[in-house]
Amino acid sequence: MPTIQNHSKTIDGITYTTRTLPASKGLVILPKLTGLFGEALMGLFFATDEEDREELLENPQVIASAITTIAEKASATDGLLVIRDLLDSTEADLVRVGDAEVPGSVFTHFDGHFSGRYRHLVEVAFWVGSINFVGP
Amino acid sequence: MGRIYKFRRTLTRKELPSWSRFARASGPHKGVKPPNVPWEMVLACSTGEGVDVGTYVALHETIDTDGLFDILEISDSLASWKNAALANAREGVG
Repeated sequence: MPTIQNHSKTIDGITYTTRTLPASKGLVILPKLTGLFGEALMGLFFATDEEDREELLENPQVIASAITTIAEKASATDGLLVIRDLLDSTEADLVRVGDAEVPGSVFTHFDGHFSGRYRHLVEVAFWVGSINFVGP
Repeated sequence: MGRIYKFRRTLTRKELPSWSRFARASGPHKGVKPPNVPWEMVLACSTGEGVDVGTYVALHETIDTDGLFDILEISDSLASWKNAALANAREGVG
C-alpha cells in the first residue's frame, strides 16, 4: 500500500525501525540517490530479492565496488548527506552515542553511529532505500 | 516458484501510453513552472483551477512516493479520456 508505514529489521544485531518517507521528501531524495549510487548499482541491488541482496552485501568485492562508486559520485552530488537524509525517519535500539549505545534516531547521531562502519551503513541504506522505492 | 523480483515500484513503473493532448493546450502561450515545488507535486495537487490542499498535506504526511506516482497515473489517464471525448465530439464521431 503506497502510504507511510513502519518497518523493522535487525542488521548486525541492531534492530532498525523506519517509516517510509512522505512523497514530498522521497521525490527530492530519489534523483539524488540515483545520482549517488548510479543506475547500474541501483539496479543491481534493487532488482535483487532480499536473500540474494544479503549475499551480495557479504561479498567484499561488491562492497568495495559500491563504496568506490559512491566515493566517485559523492563530489558530484550532495554526497553522503543524501544517505543521511534517506535515514531521516529511521531509529535503532542501539544507537552509538559517544561510548554509550542507546535507543534513538540514526539521523540525529549519524556521524557517531556509522563512524568506521561503512559496510553496515551501506546495508542499512539499501534496506531503507528498498522500503521506500522498491517495496518491503 | 521462481525468483520474485521486487524492483517493481517507483523505479520500474510502466509508462502510460502516450496520447495527444487537445490542440489548444499546446499553443504559444505558456504557464510557468514553480521554481520551489517539484513538478510532480504540482500536477498531483492541481484541481484544474486551484490547489487541492488535502492532497498537498497528504503528500507530506501519509502518502509515499509510490502513492504520488499512482495519483499522477490516475490523473493522466483520466485526462486522456476527457481529451479523447472532446476530440471525438469535435470530429462528430463516437
